[in-house]
Amino acid sequence: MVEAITLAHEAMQPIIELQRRMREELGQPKMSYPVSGPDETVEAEVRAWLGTKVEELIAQTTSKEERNEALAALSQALQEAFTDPETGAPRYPVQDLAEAFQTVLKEAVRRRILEQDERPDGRHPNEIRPLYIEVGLSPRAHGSGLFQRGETQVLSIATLGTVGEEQMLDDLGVMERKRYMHHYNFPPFSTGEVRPLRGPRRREIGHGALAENALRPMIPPEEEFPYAIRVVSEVLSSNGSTSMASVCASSMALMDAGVPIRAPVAGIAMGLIVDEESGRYKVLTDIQGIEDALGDMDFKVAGTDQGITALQMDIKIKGLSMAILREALDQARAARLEILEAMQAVLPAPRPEISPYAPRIYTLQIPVDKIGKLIGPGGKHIRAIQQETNTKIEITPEGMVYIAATDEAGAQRARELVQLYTEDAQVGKIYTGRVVRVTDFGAFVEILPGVDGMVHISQLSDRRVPRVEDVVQVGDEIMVMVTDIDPEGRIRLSRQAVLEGWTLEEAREADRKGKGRGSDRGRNGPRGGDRGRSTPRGGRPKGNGGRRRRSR
Amino acid sequence: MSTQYSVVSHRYAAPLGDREVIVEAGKLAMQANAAVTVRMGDSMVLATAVATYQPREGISFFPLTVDFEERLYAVGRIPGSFFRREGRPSETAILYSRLVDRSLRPLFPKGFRNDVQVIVTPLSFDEVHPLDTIAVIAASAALTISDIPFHGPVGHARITVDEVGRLIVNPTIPEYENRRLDLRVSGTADAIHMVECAAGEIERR
Repeated sequence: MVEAITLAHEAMQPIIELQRRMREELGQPKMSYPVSGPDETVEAEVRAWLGTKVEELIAQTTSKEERNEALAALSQALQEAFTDPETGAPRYPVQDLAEAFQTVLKEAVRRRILEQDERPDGRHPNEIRPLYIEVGLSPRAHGSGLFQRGETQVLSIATLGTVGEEQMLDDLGVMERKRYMHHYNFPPFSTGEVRPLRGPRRREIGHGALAENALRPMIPPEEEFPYAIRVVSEVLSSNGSTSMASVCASSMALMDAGVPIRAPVAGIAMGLIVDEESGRYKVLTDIQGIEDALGDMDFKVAGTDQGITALQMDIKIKGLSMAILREALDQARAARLEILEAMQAVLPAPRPEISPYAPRIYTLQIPVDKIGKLIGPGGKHIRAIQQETNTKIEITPEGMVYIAATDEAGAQRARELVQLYTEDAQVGKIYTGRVVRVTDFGAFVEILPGVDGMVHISQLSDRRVPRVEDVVQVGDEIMVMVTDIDPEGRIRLSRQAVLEGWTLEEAREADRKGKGRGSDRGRNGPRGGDRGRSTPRGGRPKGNGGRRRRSR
Repeated sequence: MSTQYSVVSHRYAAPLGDREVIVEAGKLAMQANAAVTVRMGDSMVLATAVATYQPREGISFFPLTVDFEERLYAVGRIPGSFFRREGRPSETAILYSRLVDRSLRPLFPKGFRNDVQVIVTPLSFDEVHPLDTIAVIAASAALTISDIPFHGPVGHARITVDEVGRLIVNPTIPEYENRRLDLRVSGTADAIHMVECAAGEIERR
C-alpha cells in the first residue's frame, strides 16, 4: 500500500510540472484578498485572559456534551470580559473573539496530546473507546447490527431481495448494476441538532460509498448467494468516525442476516497531530469529533484480519512522510484486529440460515432457447406460475431462473412448473395430457405446456376403434406414451401402450405392424394435417429486447 | 461581412503512466476566472473556476463548492428520465465532486473567505479513460492559472495491480475494474494530501 502511494506520487509529477509551466506562461497575477480572522493583538489578549483555563477544562471533562457545555460557558465568559462595560459593545468583533478562542483551544488539545499523551477524553493515543455490539435488534428485519464506540452509535439493518431488485445505474459510470447497496444516514438527532430532512447529502453519499467499498470484497458472488443486498446504516449518535462504525455495524447486520460474508470487516478512523516546528507527532487511534476538527489528518482504514479493503485519507498539513503513513497503517491494523475480536465475540460467523422473513431464492438453469416459452406471450405463462405459487420469478438472458418465495411449498411447485414449461418430450416417457383436437385419423394431445403430439387412431385403445370420438373428446385427460419424435420435432403418441403396459419397444413394434398391414392411413397420411404443433407456442414477449433482466 | 473571432488555444501535454494527458486553455469559457479542458484518450472534461472578489462575511469556513456536472451527451445518450434531463446528481457525480473537493480544499490559503466555485463538466467519455482523474487535474490547472489564490498545482494518479500483483500507473477502466486494488492519490510536488482506496484485503507492506 505504501509502495503504491509512493508510486502514485512519483507518477503525478509530470502533470504538476505541466501546470507550473502553464502558470508561468498563462497565469494571471493572484488577486489580493483580506485575510479573515482575528489579528495578533486580539489573539494575544484572548490568550492572556484564558491562561490555563482551557487546559484545565479539557482535563476535567470527558464526555462530548459535558465538554461542549463547559466550552460554551467559557466562551461566553470571554465575550463578556471583552465587552465594554459602559457602552455594552464588544471591544473586538464577536467572530474574531470566537475564532481566537478556537485557536487557543486547538493548541491546548494538541499540546496535551503531543506532550502528555493525554487525549481530550483521557485516552492514550492508541486506545479505542469502549465498545458495545449487539445483533438481532430488529425482530422482523432480515438482519441487524448495533455498533457503539464511545459516543458514536450506528444501527445497520440488512434486507435481502431478489437479484432483480439490484440497483440499475443510469449515469456516466461504467458499472451498470449494483447488487450490494449500502446507504448511510446521518439524521440531525445524532448530534442533538434540529435540521430539516432533505434527502441524503454529499457527505452521507460519500460515507455510504466508503462503507460499501469496505464490505464489497466480502460479499459472496451471485452464483453462491443469489440475492440483492441492501444495508442501511442509521447513525443514532455521533462523536466522530461514524463511517467506520457503520462498516462494523454492517458486518454484524450481514452476518445476522445469514449472508455468508467471507470475513467480517471492521473500520477505524486514525488521526494525527504534528508539531510542524519540532517535527514531533502522535498518531491517534479511533479519533472522536474534536480530534478530527483540531487534528491534521483524517485517515479511515477498513479491512478484515487479512488486509485492507478500503481506505480514505485527508491531510491538512503539508508533507506527510511515508514513515508516518506506515506507522498509522500499523496502528490502524492493531485497532482493527481488536475490534474484529470484539465483533466475533458477539457473533463469530454468519448465521447458517437466512431469516425466516427473508425470501428464499432457488435457482435453476434452463436452456436459453426455452426462455421465451417459459415467459409466454406477453408474459402469460410466467405470470400464471407466479400467481399460482405465490412466488416471484426472474430469468436472466443466460437462462438462470431465480424463484423467490416465502414458503417452501410454493417454491417447490414453481420449480416443477418451470421445469414443465422448459421440458422437451422424451421418447418412452408417459405423460398425462389433454386432448386438444380430434380428427378422422387420431387425436392431438397436449402433453406438456405448448407441446402437442398425435395419437393415431390405431393406438388410441386396446381395442379396434371405429371413430376417434368414440374413445376421446376434446378436453379429456388421457395418459399417453411418446413412441417417436421425427426429425421435424413432431411427436407420435400411443395410448394403447399405456393401457397394455407395453415397453417402448413393444409400443413401437405395434405401431410398425399397424402400418405394415397396408392401412391407407400410413405414415404420411395422418401427419399431413399436423403442422407441427409440437413446437412451442408463443415466443418471447415483445418490447423487452433491450433489458438486461426480465422481472415480473 | 463578419470578421473571424480570434481564438488562441494553448496546448500542453504531459505523460501520466503510459498515457498522455493534454491540457488546453484559452479557448472555452473565457468569462470564468480560468477554464481549461483536459483530455486523456477520448475522455475530456471542462473545468472552470470562479471566485468572488469580496469575502463572505460572518463565516468561519472557506466557502468552496465543487460540482461535477454529469452529462449523458458525453457518451451519446439521452437521459432516461421523464424530462430527458440529467436531474439530480448521481452517486457517481457526487463522489467525483467530493474527490475533486478533497484534492483542492487543503491548498487554499488560511483566512481566505471568498466564495470559490469549481465546475467540472465532462464533454466526452470513452468509457476507458476515467473521468475522475482528469477532473482533479483540470480543476487544479484552472485554479493554478487563475487569479484565485491557490497553493497548487495538484497532481492526481490512480494505481492498480495486474494479475501477478505488479503495480500499474494510470490504468484504464477495464484494467482497474474488479482488480484487488483501486487507489487514487492527490498530491503536490512535495507531498500527498488525499488518498482514496478500495482493495481486496491488501496489507500495508
